[in-house]
Amino acid sequence: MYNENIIQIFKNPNNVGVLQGHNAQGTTTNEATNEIIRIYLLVENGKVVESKFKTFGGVSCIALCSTACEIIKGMDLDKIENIDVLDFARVLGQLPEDSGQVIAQIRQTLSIAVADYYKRLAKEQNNK
Amino acid sequence: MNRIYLDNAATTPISSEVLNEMMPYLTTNYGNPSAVHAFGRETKHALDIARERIAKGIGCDPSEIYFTSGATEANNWVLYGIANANKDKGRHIITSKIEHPSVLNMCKRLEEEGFRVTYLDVDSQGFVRLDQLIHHLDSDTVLVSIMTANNEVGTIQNLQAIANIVGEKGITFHTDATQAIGAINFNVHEMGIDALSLSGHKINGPKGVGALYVKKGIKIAPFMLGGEQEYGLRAGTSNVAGIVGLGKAVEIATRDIVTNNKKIRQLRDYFIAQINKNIDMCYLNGHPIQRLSNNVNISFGMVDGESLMMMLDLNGIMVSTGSACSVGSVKLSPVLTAMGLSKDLVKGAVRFTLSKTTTKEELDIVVTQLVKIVQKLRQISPIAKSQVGTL
Repeated sequence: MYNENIIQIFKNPNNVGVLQGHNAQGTTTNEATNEIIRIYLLVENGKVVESKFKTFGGVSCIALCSTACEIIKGMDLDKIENIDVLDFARVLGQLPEDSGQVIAQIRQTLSIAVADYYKRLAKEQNNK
Repeated sequence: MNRIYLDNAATTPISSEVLNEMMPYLTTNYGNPSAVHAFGRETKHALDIARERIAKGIGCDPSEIYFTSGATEANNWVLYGIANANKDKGRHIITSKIEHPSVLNMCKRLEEEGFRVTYLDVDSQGFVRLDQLIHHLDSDTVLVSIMTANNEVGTIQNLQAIANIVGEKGITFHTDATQAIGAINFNVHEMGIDALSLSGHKINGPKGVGALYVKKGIKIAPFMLGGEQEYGLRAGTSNVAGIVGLGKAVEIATRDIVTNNKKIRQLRDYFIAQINKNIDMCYLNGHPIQRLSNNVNISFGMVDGESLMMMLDLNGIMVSTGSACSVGSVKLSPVLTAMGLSKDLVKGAVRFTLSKTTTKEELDIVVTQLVKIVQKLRQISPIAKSQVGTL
């Protein structure tokens, strides 16, 4: 069901926890599975410098969230919500059965984080 | 890495006593029991002995036992067979929301075929609502099917009360006893149980074999069509070795019921106490006492059950989330949902099922691992302590 790459990342996920100094975050709940994903971003000059995650989810959720945080590092903020199945498959190989819905949830979470970033930015500029 | 197996509600190993009885029928005694020659007569005799052992184990006549490919077939057959053979009397069936999929999916099929099915609610401990049962029994009801003990949470139903309520109305009562053979004593005639399903591999017998008891006089249509095996009601060449193993497994399970249950219950209660002592935000699902002696189903707050199960597996400890039949499915457990648990606690549930060979030392290792893994997963969790049980 899970390949060795998935298992290894699940055992020792990277990028776990609250990202200190983050300037964006998104949280989503999948109503069908009740899996919760929260992603924190640190954005500088329009690029993601660092990201971390927390999740209430299964093996796929933990492995894919950890991988997503790796994939988006260094990417333009406006492009991160477009990461797709192929991006994950390139890193992990064959993906688990439920990966489609987890990746969709990750993209939705990133989209909310991006919106949160621009909201914070606008608020900051208004305060100046 | 030494493995610790705590998934005995999913399946159990074949005991040596059972295997020894089966071996001749896998090797030298290969006759078809339907054949009239000596080889056939020998294997037919072996089937008769198995039928007698099972009948003795549950308190019925051997002629009331029909062999099947397992409890799923027994459950499918009893619902389909009794509903169809009695549809001139009525087209209403009552079951509960926490039955095994082999009952629930056949009920869905029967609904598609024009039968009416009522799915009874359960309370927070998994007991079927008897007030609803009384309310829904009517002159159109031909069958009530309620499992003896739930495979996920282990709650043992008030079976005698259910049998009395249904029996008073003259309606047929079936119970799926797959998890309960060897855990509670049955005397189906005295208890007023009209039909009962059981399986071999849950009680240290072989996989792929089970039995259905149907009380004499109850009309049931055949499910498998073909030859005249099983009194013309269940066609197909008999799985002789499997049936011999099933008979022996039932004999042993019912013979050793007191000693096994006493030992396993003590270990179960020790295990629950150790978990509660060492890990906070743990909630035992099901009734604390009126439960299968080998079942421990616990929701760990803030923790995803599948992740916990997999982490345990990577440390050589085998448990399950939900029922084994739902692996690969991301749907929340219908049983825990019907019991009214919040979604986060449904997702945080893990089932540990012990056996007569489980040791205290093994359970201590599991608790040690649980402490570490739960702590690790809680660090990943976005759920706050104050949110546990509310999501």
